[in-house]
Amino acid sequence: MKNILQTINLTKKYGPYTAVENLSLAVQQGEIYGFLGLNGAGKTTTIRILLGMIKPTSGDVFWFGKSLRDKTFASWDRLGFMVETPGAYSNLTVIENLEIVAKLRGVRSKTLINDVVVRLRLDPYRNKKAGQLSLGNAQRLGLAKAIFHRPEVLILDEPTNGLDPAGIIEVRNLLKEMAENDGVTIFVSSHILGEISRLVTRFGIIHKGRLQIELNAGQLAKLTSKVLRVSTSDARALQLLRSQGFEGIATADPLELIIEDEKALKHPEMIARILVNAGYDVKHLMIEREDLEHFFVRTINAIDHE
Amino acid sequence: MNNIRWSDAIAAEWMKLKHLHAVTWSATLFVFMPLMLAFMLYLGKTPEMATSSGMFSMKTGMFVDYEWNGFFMAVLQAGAGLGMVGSGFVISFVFGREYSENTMKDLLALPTQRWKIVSAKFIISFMWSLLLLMVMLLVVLVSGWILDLQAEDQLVWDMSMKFMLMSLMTVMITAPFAILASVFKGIMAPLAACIIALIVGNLVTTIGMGPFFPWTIPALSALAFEDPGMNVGIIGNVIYICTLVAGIWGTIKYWQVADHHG
Repeated sequence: MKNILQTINLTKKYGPYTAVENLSLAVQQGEIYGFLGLNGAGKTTTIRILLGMIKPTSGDVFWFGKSLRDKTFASWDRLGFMVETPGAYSNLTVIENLEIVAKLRGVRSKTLINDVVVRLRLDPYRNKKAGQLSLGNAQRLGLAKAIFHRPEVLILDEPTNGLDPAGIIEVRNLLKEMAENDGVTIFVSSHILGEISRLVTRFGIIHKGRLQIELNAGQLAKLTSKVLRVSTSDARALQLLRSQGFEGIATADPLELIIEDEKALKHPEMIARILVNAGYDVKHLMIEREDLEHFFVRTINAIDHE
Repeated sequence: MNNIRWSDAIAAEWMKLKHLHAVTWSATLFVFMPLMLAFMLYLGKTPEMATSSGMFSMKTGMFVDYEWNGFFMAVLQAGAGLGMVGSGFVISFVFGREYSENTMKDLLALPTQRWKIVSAKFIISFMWSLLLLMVMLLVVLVSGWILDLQAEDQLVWDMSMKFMLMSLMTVMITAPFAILASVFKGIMAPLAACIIALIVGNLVTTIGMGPFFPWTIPALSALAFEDPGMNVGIIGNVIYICTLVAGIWGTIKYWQVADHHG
């Protein structure tokens, strides 16, 4: 598949401080790429470099195979973006704000503006001034500005900030639909990892300005740890299982066991049988997979302790 | 496709002024100022009324006479000051609002080249400020006509031309404030600089250095028609043009080259 976006050894330094260091990544057509990191990890700096708002100290960015350093670069009309908290001209209505961006993008069609207003449920607010919008609707307006011209690539920095749970689901579905139906490539940064994990096809974790790891969903499944969680009626269950040779057992409370033992994870029915035979009730037994949030924290902690 | 029409960039800037309170308030100020001057001139012209009202009698001394010439001389001075502050506010607002409204980043990765956006901003700022000064001139002419002021042939026309020249020069010399709005990401820094320029301008004029200070040159150039001693000379004109070009070129370069975090 063709690379829509590629960065090669991207570095940005501010005096002695390195905001982004040797960052190389590639995003292919139709991918939804999650760019994860703590606050200050270098996400927004990277996004601003990708959009030509900040010049890298070294390294290069290629969009559709063409370098941003190339003076003849002319692909901005193929991109849509929303960086950090979206802004809008507070004295103008939702429609007027969109009309201004349309002018600057050379878009003549009014239909595109009307479509996006309906698609993002901004219709009831179309004549409301942007300064009077709620945080969630201001975020929708920011998204509308990013997608109304039907770009081939979308770059979104924290797109679900300020949205209510229904809005988050709506935006997630919208982005998925754009990727699946229209083949839009999406590069999305976020620190809401539960949200990202439901959306992306691949992700990278940036920490201290460096891209630490890049994985797709399948690779993540292999790397994330699993535990067997068991609730019993008797606190002596812990001793019993240890005496049977099971290791790596922790307790959330005396009646709830968290087992990391390989054998137990492969054969949870064996644990149930041992406990029941000993006369202890098994109230709940479940294999739990580490979620992206825990994986992220574990990865970051490991880097910090290196 | 990076060749969106320049006229579209100008139209976009024009659209941003819609429903803007700043437009109404600035226009009100530029109508109010000449009306105040006309009222004071009227008091000076009718001393019996000025005496009876008491509090205005001192202020009317600012007119060299109470006809068109005196009125215009006062208007030129007041217009230079108000024009400077008004145009300074306008250009600070047009550039600085992109930061205060958090919309700057929306203007940087577009098919419209940045120089087109910056130059569109300059055009709209200059047009807005010029329009305010032309409104002021219109109010001056109408008030003078109502007050039935007298003048020699051609004087009203000549003075109007001087006012227009002063207006054009005053408006354009605010260009460097656009760099300040861009570098300091807001309205306050350029506005403060504008007020400082006005104060320094008064000082340097007092000590005879006015022709070398870019922000006093417009008023001096207008007055030079009346008093050749006010002529700023070649050096003054060079200083003026260099400052203007540096303001426009510097702002365009800043938008094109600097890192934009705001």
